[in-house]
Amino acid sequence: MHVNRRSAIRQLLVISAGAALLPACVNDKKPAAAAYTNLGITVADEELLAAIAGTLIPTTDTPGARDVNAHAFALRMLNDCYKKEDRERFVAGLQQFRDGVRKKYNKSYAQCTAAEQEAIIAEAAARQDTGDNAAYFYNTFKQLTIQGYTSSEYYLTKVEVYKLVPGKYISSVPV
Amino acid sequence: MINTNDSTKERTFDAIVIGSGISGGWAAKELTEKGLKTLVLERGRNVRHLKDYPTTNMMPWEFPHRGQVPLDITEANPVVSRCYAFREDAMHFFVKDQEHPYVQEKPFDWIRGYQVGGKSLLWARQTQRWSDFDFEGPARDGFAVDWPIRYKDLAPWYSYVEKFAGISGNRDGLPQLPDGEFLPALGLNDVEKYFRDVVAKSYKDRHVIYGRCAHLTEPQQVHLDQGRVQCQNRTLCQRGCPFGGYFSSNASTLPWAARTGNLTLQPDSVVQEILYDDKKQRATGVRVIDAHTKAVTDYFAKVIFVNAGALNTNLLLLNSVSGRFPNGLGNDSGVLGKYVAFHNYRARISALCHDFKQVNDQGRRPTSAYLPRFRNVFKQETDFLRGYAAGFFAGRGAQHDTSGFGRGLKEQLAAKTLGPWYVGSHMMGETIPKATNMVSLDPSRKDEWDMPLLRIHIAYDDNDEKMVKDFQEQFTEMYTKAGFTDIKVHDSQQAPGLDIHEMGGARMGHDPETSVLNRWNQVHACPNVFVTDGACMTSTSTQNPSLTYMALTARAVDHAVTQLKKGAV
Repeated sequence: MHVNRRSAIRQLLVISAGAALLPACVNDKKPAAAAYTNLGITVADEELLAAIAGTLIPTTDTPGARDVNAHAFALRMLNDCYKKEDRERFVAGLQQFRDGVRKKYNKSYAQCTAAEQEAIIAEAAARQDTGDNAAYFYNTFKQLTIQGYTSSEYYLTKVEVYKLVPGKYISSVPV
Repeated sequence: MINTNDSTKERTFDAIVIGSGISGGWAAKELTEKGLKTLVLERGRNVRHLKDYPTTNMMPWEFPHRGQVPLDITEANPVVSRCYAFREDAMHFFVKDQEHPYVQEKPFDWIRGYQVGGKSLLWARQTQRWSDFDFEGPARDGFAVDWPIRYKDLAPWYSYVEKFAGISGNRDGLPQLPDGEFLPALGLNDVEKYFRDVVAKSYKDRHVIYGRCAHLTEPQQVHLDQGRVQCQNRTLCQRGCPFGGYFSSNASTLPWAARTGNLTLQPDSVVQEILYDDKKQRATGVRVIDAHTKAVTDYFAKVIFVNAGALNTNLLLLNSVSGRFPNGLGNDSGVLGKYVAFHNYRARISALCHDFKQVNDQGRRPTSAYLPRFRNVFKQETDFLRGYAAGFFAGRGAQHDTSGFGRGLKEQLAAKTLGPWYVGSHMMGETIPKATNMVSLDPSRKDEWDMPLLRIHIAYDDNDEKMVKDFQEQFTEMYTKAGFTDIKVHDSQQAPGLDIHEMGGARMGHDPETSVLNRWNQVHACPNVFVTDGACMTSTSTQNPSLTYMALTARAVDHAVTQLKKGAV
């Protein structure tokens, strides 16, 4: 009994260690809504979030949040690291956001023009201090998108270069 | 069932070491170098240097949660989740709460690492010598019992272990923090130097120095011979170091011991008890249960070193009962398990420094600045006993404006704008060992390995509360003198244990009536058993303890082997 439980734990550890060794992008590229079992969101929701990420940190001559799968990172964090009540607030806020867009524009966020999308996000940003579910959704998703973007391989190799092996420490340099 | 299939001879060694952490690794190195066939028993799995550091070369973006531990794990393991180093990159080196339960009579965060190398893989690597102001503390201030040794007894052994482990630091010439055998220090940054000068000008007895740490800043031949090279300042030490840049059993003492040909390292082996022969009047060996198969096997040796980690050493000794020792091995005095102490890390302070805008430091460092204890050092001067050491750190990094969205936000996130300097300190307070701060065996509940659960009854007292307040006041004053702004003091209220500096329970002392170990770390009443991990500590002082365990261990092995040759143990 004890042995079985322990070996089961060991197997789980082996599996999760294996998953941890895969580059994150391998996990991110498949339609993964089904993987976020704690969130209960659809593939369409995921597409919506990808589009919002693209508005928050757009693709320019350099990759944006969507290109580095920051939205998938955000979903993974919400699914794995957030408390149930916070996940529920997020999903409720997401639905409110989606329904609001549909009501006002009679189409999905992804189908909106870039200008319409910016207007929608500007409106959400203007409401960020209201403390309701919609604001929680916007603030949380924006913060996680920024975290996903600034900790992506692109950002840490091209924008703020992360050195795994920094070598010499210099106690004072002019800036 | 006792395994009798193999011969007793194959299970007989010159020495047995229980535990492979920082002190067990030293016992193994010293015993094998002196020619003793040595069995090292480790309750956890094997972790081989370089080969078993699965996250060591992972980039930040390769961690699915960028370091954060998922909620299902933190909720299932609230104790270990409070440890600063229990993160996605190193959580495989920590004991999960549910795998190894214990009983908290008072809140106690018991942080453990069950694997070859133990917590030496994970330690914070800060290494300061004790001085006589520490060894003489209990006698001068009237608590615990007098240490049976003084600085002069340990000084040559500090030198001995420092040369091998590789300790970086400056020779600061302070009587309360003796200098050692140092590799070069990396140095303080401009704000740390500024604070040092402000403190030196304002207080004649307070000193801000560069921290002393177990990192190879300039490896010597003895380090290269261990297969270790220069520390590259990755500051990812908790993952295990591919350079062997910091000292661990895995990188240093265990491979060294293996090279002698005298080492047998046996992981997955939980020692249940030390076997005592009432007729021979000596410990004869240990009883081991296989962590996985649960097969029970006895091993025998002339001398036994107990290095299971402070509280587990108490557990093992308490569980080793015989006709001669009905209350636990060596426990004639009844003090075994009592007078446990720890370090008080509750208070922190942070602030901003708006000067030094035109400079920054570059790269990373494995330590920062350190303030040795300045309270009650030369004489009693406050309304609490003893005092605290403290860290001091200054640093600055990119500061991004995260307001807005779109191209503007993207440009803000790419801007190379440096924020102000952040400064911070944390206290490391001495706590007073008391009979009421103790561990004992649960009378009924046992773990999967048939070991009684450990009951932990340890709490802060009024002396600790006063010290928290004094740290906050004194550092607010020093930070104010330095002109730092936005000063914030904090009391984490963390439970004892989270300092991971639990000590005592099998303390050293002159008198068998009031202590468990003599001046050589030998059990008074069972001289072929030595305890050289944190359990042996009579008091805690304020220094990070590992360096002292190393020195005590090397000294005790030298004594043990001398005595063995004389036939005295």
